[in-house]
Amino acid sequence: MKIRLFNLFVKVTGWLPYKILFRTKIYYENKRSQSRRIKGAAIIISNHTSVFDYAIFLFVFIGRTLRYQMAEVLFRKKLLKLFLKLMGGIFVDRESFNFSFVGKSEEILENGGVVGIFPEARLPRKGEERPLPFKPSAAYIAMKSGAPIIPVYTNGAYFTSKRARVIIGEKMYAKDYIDPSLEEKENIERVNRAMRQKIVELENEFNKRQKKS
Amino acid sequence: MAGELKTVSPEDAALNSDIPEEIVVKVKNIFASALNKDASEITETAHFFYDLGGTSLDFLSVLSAVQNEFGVVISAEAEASFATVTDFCCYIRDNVL
Repeated sequence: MKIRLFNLFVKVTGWLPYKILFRTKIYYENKRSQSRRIKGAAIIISNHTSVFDYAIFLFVFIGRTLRYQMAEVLFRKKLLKLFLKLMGGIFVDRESFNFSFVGKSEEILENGGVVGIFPEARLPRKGEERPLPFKPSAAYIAMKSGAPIIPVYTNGAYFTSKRARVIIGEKMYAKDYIDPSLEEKENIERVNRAMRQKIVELENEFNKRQKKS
Repeated sequence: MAGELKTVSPEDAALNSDIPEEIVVKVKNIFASALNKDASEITETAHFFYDLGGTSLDFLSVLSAVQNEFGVVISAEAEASFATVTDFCCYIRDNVL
């Protein structure tokens, strides 16, 4: 309840600055069958371009409280740590082998919540192929929870003269990529590959639409 | 301290002594399968990542296999500290048996 209330407060107070600073334009892979409304449990996955991706998605999916997985570096500053905790951030310590974020994410999904994941797990460096390889935990969580995956691509154009643009893909389900004859590890990899491929396809679709317009 | 032999305290030994051998063998086999190693290479106290060279993908497959094999739901708090065969066995003993 505290998390939901704090999210509401942030969204109310941050909406105008968000509109002015980001001027986000939202596209859909299939406009006829899609909307920004998320019903029930869901996992949002996207490419990672900046620390501001989280802020963008907060307002793109404004109707729901997003519980994002967040790296340990963000929790090092006391004030930011407090803010992110109040926002319901799921702590991920990439430097230790602490997998509690997996169970925490599963719990949230079980209760009908929305979990946000950047499966690349870090920001890409200059010259690196994007998106980076996806870490397997997002695929594992999707498989275990059965929650729909909402893939999103963002162009990362924040604080520039260009508008921030995101394209929301159609829902995917991990079960559609699982082959029961394969071992668990292979299935995690299959789902992982499918998720990354979807983000690549969304990027291509986005670029195609940009060229047309 | 460097060179000092690690000893199991009497309290720890007592705590782990009541884990049925069958569970230890099953968990070792799950570790071995995930790591593509022989079960004889897996010791009860070897760290999954540091000693056995496991990856996060390997670890997730272990988590899944343990939950399927023993019908146990592993809590988020427990996932924070799992690293050895003994860790899993203790959790199974405390939550299934």
